[in-house]
Amino acid sequence: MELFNQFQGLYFQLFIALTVFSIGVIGFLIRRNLLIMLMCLELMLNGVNITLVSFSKLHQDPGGSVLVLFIILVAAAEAAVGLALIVSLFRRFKNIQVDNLREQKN
Amino acid sequence: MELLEIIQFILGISIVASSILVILNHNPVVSALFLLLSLFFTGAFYFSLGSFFIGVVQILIYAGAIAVLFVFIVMLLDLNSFKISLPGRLLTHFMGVFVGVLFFVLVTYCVLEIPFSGFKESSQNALELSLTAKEISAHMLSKYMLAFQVASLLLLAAMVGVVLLGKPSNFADLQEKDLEHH
Amino acid sequence: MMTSAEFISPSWLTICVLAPLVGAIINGLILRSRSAMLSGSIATIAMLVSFVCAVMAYLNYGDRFIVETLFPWIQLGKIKVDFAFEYHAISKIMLWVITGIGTMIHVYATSYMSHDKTPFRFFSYLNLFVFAMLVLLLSNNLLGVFMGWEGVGLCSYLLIGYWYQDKKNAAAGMKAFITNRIGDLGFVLALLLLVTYFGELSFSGIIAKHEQIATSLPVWLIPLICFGLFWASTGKSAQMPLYVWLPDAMAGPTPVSALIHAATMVTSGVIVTVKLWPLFVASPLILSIIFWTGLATALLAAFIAIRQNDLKKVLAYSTVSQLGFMFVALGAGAPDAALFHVVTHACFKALLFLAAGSVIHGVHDEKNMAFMGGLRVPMKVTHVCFLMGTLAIIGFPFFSGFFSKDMIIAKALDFNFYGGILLVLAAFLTAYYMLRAYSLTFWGKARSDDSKSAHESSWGMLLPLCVLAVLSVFIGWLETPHILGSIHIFSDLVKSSWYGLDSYGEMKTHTISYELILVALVTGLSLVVAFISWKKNQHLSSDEINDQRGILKNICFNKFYVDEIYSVSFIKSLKALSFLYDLFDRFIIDGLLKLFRPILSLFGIVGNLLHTGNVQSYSWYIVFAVILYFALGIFGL
Repeated sequence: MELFNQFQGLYFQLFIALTVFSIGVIGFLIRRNLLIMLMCLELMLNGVNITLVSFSKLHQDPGGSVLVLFIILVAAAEAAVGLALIVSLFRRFKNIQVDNLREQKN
Repeated sequence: MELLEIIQFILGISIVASSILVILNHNPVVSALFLLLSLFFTGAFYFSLGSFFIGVVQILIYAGAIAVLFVFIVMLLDLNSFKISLPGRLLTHFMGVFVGVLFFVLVTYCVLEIPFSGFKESSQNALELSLTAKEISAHMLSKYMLAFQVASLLLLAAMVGVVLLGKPSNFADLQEKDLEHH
Repeated sequence: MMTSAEFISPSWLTICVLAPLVGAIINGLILRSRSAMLSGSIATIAMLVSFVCAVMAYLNYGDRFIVETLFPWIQLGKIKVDFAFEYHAISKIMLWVITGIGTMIHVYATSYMSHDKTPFRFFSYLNLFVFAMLVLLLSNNLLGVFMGWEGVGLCSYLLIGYWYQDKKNAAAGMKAFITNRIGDLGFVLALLLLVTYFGELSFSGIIAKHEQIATSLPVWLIPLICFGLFWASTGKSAQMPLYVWLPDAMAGPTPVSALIHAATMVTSGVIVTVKLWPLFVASPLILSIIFWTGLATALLAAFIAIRQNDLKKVLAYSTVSQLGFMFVALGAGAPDAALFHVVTHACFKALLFLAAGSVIHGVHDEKNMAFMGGLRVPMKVTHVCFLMGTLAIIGFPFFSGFFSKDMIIAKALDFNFYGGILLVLAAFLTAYYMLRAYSLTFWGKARSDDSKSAHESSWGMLLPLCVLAVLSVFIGWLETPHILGSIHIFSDLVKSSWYGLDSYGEMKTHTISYELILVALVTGLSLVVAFISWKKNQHLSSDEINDQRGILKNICFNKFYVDEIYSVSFIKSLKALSFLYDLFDRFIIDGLLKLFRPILSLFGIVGNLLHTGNVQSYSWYIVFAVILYFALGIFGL
């Protein structure tokens, strides 16, 4: 805690990132609308990105930023595919509740 | 407290606030818009940190493409925002919040235990020590070249996948007007 | 006197050994032709290549002791063996025997198997056998010999049971393999003891080590090793008690009997014993055992042969008996006599078998002599060749058997007078049964339609017969006693083989007059016996031949009931034991397993509960897991 003053900026950034991530987790668990769940995924990724950027700044290492770039990239691809899937599911079930994705148990 | 720190603080709080509003709304459109807002604030947050390039990328791609894509899809699908009160719904809410908070507390404890040391400069917020596009791209195109190439392949695959998934799977999905011929 | 080993890279010997393997692969895997001519020719060419290499090796290596190393095979702690072939005294002679006689048998088989449906199988097995035999002969260490040992056992099984569609043949093949396997225990025992106490497996190494440490070894060690090797020989070289497979092995095609059971495989035991002779000399107890076992085998087999009616069976028991002679020679301390008899026996026994095959072929696959007779008219060439072989085996003066057999008898009488007399009895019996077989087959009246309409075989079969006949007559002149010229090619060869040691064993010599009287007596008496047999057996009718009444006749005919005794004592008790084991396995072991069933089902039930099928619940599981990890990390686990 003595270091807190010196690292105030870092701790705050990490705190923000963690909060955003936790909110994403909570939303993912609670909401049953597939679209909202996808948005919560994006929130989680966002939180991770904030962490990476702040550490990249701390160590002056561009590697962290590069990773952020890749994460954004992959998130884009994944969001696109996920949304396409949601569209297909909508065509099938006429709504996008996650309860539709239930396996039949014998 | 410097101006930069105050701005950072405000931006941080805004990010958190808009994230909470994302998950609380029942209307998907409103949620999408709040997501957009959250991402936008994150981009601003990056600016205040000094990572200009990442901030720009965030706003361009994340806020400007992905979130907009979400909004498109929400508009495309005719969704009824309905509140379902299932038995046990409240319990799920409680459990979810509890688990989330538990997670938060555990990770905070871990983070506080880490002995940070050996950092390079005195202040985290010094704008002069920013990571420019030049440095980042120099790294990406040399040390992480393989990842770069693979990522491009990934985008290609995603594109193809999306097109395939989006095609109407049977003619029942098509409406009469789609079958117009020239 | 002895040169030391020269180690060179693979050359003539290697080609010699590998040629049959290549032939086997081409025939069996690549060409798979249905034409006996083609596959037989390929196999014969492979054998010719081997023969030529043997000649080249002789010309190039001469008297040197060459070791061709292929590659370092095993290097584990104490043991270091290379995969290498050595060109050394005993190998020289046996190499010519195997490749030369082998080539002729292949030529014969090309004609003999002309009616077979899948000749490529036969010829690839035959080539494979020669390969294994050459590995056995030429390896410079016991491990390579063992590899060849097992290989010839395998090929013997494959070839005996060649016509496996008839269950009897398959059973005969299995009998051969299993009996051989029982013998192999002895070999493995010897190998293990040698590794543990000597740390050496190569022949020159073993003998050299033996020189050094002979006095510091426990007393029972060397006899045990020698006994192990002898036990293996009783399996492979058909001595008591493991000879029972050889008569049944007649179920295979005749060229197989000629090659494997006359000339090559059955001599493996003799070869290994002679190679390790210094060890055997150091254990006189084992030598006595060998002597008496060989004698008993020779006598027993001769008695059985007297009343056999199947032509091939007579020859089979004759082989067992002659092998007994060889072991008697070994036991009497005369490895040179044993080896000499190996060589002459290879020639005339192969000849006899091939001639028998020609006869059987001529009378349309009738094997029982009761239904042959008078064949000397239609089958002239075969008749003459068979006669040559017969004269050789009974020791007719100046034929090959005369020299080798009488050498053995002389040494046996020296070793133990009464044993020697019994051996002489065995020699008389040999004369009797061989002439009986001869006259029943070729003299007298034709006893059945088959023999009336007999025809001579083709030249593909007759040519090897003639060559072998010539050999059988003249090969005896390699080693003659003093009176007749004192040629000692053979003994010199053997004496030079003890890997650098000068004197080996006490090869006893005797006074000239003793030898002469002996020889004359034995030979004369055998000729008398032979003549009586010939005269008597010509005029028998089928019924008289098939008649086996009379206790002695019956016992001899039924092989002294040895197989039946084995069946009751060993086989039935093993079957009972395996029945008990089966019960144990089914009730006790399976029962224990059945107890565990409920426990395992419990796991299944629990797992089943977790699979809710609801996707969202899986995300709960993920988060729980992550929290668990963090908690474990924090609270130090």
